[in-house]
Amino acid sequence: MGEPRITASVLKVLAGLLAEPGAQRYGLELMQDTGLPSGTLYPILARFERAGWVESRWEQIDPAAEGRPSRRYYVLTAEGTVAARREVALMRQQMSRAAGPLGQAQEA
Amino acid sequence: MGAVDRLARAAVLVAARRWPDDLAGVMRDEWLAELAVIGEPWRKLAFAGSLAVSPGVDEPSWRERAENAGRLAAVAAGVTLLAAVATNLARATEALAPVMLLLGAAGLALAGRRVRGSVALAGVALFAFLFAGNPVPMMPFMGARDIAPAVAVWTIGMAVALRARRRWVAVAGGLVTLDLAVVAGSAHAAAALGVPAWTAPAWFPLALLPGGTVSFGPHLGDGPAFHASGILLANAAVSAGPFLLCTAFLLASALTGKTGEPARSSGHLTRRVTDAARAAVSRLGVNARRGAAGAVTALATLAVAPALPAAGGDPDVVLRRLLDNSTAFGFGFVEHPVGLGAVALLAALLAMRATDSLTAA
Repeated sequence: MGEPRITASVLKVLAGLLAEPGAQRYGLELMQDTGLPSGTLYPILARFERAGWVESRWEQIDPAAEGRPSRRYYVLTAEGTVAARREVALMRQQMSRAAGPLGQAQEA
Repeated sequence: MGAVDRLARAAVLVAARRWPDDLAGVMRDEWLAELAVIGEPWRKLAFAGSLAVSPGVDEPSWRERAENAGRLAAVAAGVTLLAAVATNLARATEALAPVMLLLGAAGLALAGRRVRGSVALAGVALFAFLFAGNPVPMMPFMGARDIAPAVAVWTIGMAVALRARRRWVAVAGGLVTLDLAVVAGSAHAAAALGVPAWTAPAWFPLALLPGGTVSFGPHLGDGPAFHASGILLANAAVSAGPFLLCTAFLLASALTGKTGEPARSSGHLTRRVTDAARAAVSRLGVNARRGAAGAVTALATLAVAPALPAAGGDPDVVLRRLLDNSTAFGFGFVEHPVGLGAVALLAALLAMRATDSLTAA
């Protein structure tokens, strides 16, 4: 399976997952962190999982005791962490290059 | 469970059904679990609504869908325009018209092997072009009540024919559709002129022949008498030519895709012309070649389009053209600056698109 196409929304999710690389995150939480709607977030997470960038697992709880169904958690894999750092760094590099002349002009 | 919960749950279930089989169940359970912890009703609806209206993981994005629709619409309009021009050129050869029409159909079929088309958008383009190009005063039976049934029957018939699994069934379905479309578009004329209904199956093939080849129906006119079939077939000829050429394009487009054959140029001459064009455009920058192709094509269209046969104001000329089928398509819309500009813009867009294809190939 090839790597996901990098878009602004994909970068937001990567940056959100990179904030705590080993942490288990669930969809609603990532929606709040990234500001993305559900219809955009979940297809991106599915593509990440197909590419081996994230792994998912169901939360082990007793739904009756907790009063809610089990959540599905996502965590960045080692490969996903490398890819996420690479893509976010590349984006920052491009942004700083684009903002360079503007930043210099503002400083002057 | 309240109405909001039921609505949100239904939207999530609908959204999950659009996902691939291996993910649909997992995603449904995950979304229902998230819905269960969302408190505010509006957030529940926003969560479920976004999933319901957004493309699934393997579906094209809205942007890709819009780009694809725009591309198909431009192709449909371009093919219709090309079919109308080719029909007029074929009609101008009078006795050779049937042969030229078949050559035109072969040319559009070659184009169809390289470009994907849409039946529905071709139907919309055909209706718009036939309606705008042939004002009613020129063609007495070219109003909406004549064109609309013809285009509707053609669009539905082609959509069914192109679903056929076997090539010969699709081609036969296309031919039957052409016949039925011309019958549907000429039924009003036949009723008004008193042409017998049993002649209907022959209207399409006869409309491809030069005017006056076969005559039937009541005699009309005070001076040199002519048969009602002259008027009926002249009107039928207006749509029969573009229908035939667009059918050839769509059949070739669909059948090439069905057999999985790679889109490629056919024959050495086509390949050499394509290679030469590709070499020429590769010497220019991307934007320069797109801009140059668009500007040259737009200017050429602005220069050539006004020379296309337009609806004449002289009744004698109109009647003669009607009876000998020499003007099959009125091109009334290019008489107006907006119509002329739209045609030039369309031609420029298609030329720019073709330049992109040459570059990418």
